[in-house]
Amino acid sequence: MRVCRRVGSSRGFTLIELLVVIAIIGILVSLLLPAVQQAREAARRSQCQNHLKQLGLALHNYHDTHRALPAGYYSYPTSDGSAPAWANTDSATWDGAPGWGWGTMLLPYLDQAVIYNALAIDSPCWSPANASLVRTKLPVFLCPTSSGPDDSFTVENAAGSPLVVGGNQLVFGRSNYVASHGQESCWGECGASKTGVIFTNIYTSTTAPVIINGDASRVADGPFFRNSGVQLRDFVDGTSNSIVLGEHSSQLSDKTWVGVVPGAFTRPSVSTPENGPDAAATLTLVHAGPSGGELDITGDPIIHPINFPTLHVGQMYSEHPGGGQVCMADGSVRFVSENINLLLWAELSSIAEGEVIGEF
Amino acid sequence: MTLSATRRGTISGVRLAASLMILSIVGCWYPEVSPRAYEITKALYSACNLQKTEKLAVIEELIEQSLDEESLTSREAAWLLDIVADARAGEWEQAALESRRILEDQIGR
Repeated sequence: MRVCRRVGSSRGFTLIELLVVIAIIGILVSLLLPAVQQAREAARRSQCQNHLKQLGLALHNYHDTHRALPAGYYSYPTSDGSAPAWANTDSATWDGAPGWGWGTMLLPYLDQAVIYNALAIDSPCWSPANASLVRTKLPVFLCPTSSGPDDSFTVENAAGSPLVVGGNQLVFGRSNYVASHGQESCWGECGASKTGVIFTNIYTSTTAPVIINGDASRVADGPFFRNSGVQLRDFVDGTSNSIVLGEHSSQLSDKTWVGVVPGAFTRPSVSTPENGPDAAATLTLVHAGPSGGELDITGDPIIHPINFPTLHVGQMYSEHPGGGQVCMADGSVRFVSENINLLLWAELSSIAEGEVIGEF
Repeated sequence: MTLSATRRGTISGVRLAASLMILSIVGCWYPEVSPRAYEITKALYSACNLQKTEKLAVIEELIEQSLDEESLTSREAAWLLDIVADARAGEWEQAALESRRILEDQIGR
């Protein structure tokens, strides 16, 4: 039998055919890749939302136990700046021992009772006795979308050098979540002022002096501040209308779950024409603005919502596209657009100013 | 040795494509602006975000005044006035996004 065979014509692909196939595959991949990336980001966002939800629930469980939310951070109380030497009180901010922040107080309610029990909680958070535990990496305080480092970091001073307390450098565990101090910020010079600070009305841009004498509650209008102990009944604006926690990516600055060290500063990793280091309280807290009479060039208050491009270390900052997530006082977690109405953002940040909150 | 006409054509095509790509990338960014322009842009973003028409007039005045004082370049003034015009035309969202872009493009500078 004679077999007719076509020689050479079907043994393989021509170069043109290969190039066409590669081009088609390339186009398909380029079409698919954004969808894959979006799906991955959606998963990361969902995980971040879950972390904030756990923190919100922990706040409520803490409140159930202690009849109040934890303080933004705990500091030796003083009305004139004087304090015993062991308190290590900063002469500018009046921040002192023990410094433990809201994050540490929540540990027993985040399935981290082992760490909490092992901490020498009666000693300052910068005590050598706590040095190994306070650098623990706790995933519940980390947002998977944050592209910055997620390991512990060295606490710095105003000059950007490692802060040395008692001869030791301090390394703290990181947090991508921060607590809301409200519109105003009572830290830095503001925190130490004996004579007062300018309090800004967001609607009228009017200001008024407030005597502080170390009592941050006279200025802070949010749920967390130095030695705060806000109760849910204090949320006159409504628990569903008040932000308690939000995001702060480590791409912008270092935040911690541990607490506040007198003399520490947080520094921006990314510079803008107006951002710079801010006082120790910004290790755990942020504010919405305006603060201390912050007015823009036309005399209106400066409000910096989440992701505002001036990139203050004392603001919320997320790397989720288009905005970021916040935890409300009722425990719900909401995604907030970075283009949110500025006044609405300020209203959501305060807890008892009697503002009528619109839809968001 | 001279290049063939086809090869020369290919090279110029690649150059043109590269130039267009660079131009399109460069065209998407605002360059570094003066401190005055930055301050005015912040106020402009606030005006657009809150849809405050009366604030636009104040900002326009500031732009004119800053131009006279030479604390603002004519190019910066043109960008800002374009945004003000968008806002006046009721394109508040577009105007807010554009002023935000100016601020965002100053990050890292």
